[in-house]
Amino acid sequence: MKKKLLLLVAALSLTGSLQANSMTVKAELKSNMRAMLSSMEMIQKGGFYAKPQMMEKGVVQLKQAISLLDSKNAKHYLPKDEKYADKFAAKRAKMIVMYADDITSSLKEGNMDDALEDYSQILRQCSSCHLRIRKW
Amino acid sequence: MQRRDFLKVLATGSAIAVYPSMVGGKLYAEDGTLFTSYGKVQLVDEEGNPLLASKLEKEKNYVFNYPHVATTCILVAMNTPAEKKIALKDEDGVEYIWNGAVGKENNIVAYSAICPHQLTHINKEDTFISYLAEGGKTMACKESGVIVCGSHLSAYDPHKGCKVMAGPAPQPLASIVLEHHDDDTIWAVAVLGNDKFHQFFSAFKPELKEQFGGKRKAKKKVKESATTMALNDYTKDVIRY
Repeated sequence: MKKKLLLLVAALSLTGSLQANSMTVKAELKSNMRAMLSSMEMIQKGGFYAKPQMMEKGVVQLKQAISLLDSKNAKHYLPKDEKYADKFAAKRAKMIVMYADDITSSLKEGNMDDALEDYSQILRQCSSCHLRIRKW
Repeated sequence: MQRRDFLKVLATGSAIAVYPSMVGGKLYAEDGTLFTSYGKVQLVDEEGNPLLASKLEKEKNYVFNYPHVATTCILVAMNTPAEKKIALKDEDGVEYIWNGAVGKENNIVAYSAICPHQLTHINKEDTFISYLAEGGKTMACKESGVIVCGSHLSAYDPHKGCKVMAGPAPQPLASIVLEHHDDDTIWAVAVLGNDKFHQFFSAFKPELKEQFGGKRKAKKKVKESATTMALNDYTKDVIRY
């Protein structure tokens, strides 16, 4: 009887910890997505008000937030039925970083046109991933 | 359409049917561009020897760059003959006819590997777009022997001018018009359909800078010959869903 009770307690605590872990992952991803959204808003605002510094700040924040979705982590954060698409998600993340870096170099060259084009390409990468993973 | 214009299209069409490379520039129909002729380019292997149609491995993904140095195309010798005279329509509603494959078995086709949905393409790092051999499985559709874009799961039928079979793609892949000569050599001569090259060069500027040293260099036209190699040798990772 004692053995059975111990097993039950162990099973319950394992389920609990797994659930807690999944909640943590979800919460982490949610907060991360919010951070990306806010950094995108900052880049857009900087573009519309012609404030390169604001755009650069947005780029830094975006790159920090996206690091969670790099190739090592993508599988970990994707929903259960979409884990197979880790390379797809990682590729989107890589493209976002590439365009973000190009915003910085375009701003250095004083080319706001290109910086805004990069911004729209980042948006495209975001929607590409959401289309596939979140099944829009 | 005016009688004179009709005759012009008819005459040019007959010339294209025999040898597409006889026609330079663009062939206009009443409602837009159907066919863009580029320089005639011979497909060669990695050592520079002419690629022979009879030596192609069936159902293997081959790639070559045409008409620009950065626009990659898929070449496949399919297991079964392609259909002929397929009526296709691009996303703007422009209708055009895909004449079919080349080769003795009428099974060799080439398509631009830029997916018209979100411009997924082959690059040296990875590819999400490739030909799926018969018997292979994909999440995009039940069929095999198809070209699949794994990004958003569009599938195209290479036997029918890459008509869309499944997924969100708004139009067929642009096809590369090939010529197969009596000496068994293969030549790329033109692009049929809405090619998306302009959007591709605008959207991937930073990638083109990294891989080709800039947009201008990436846009250079391929001249005389195009090196053709296995997809697995061209790119590091072939990703399929």
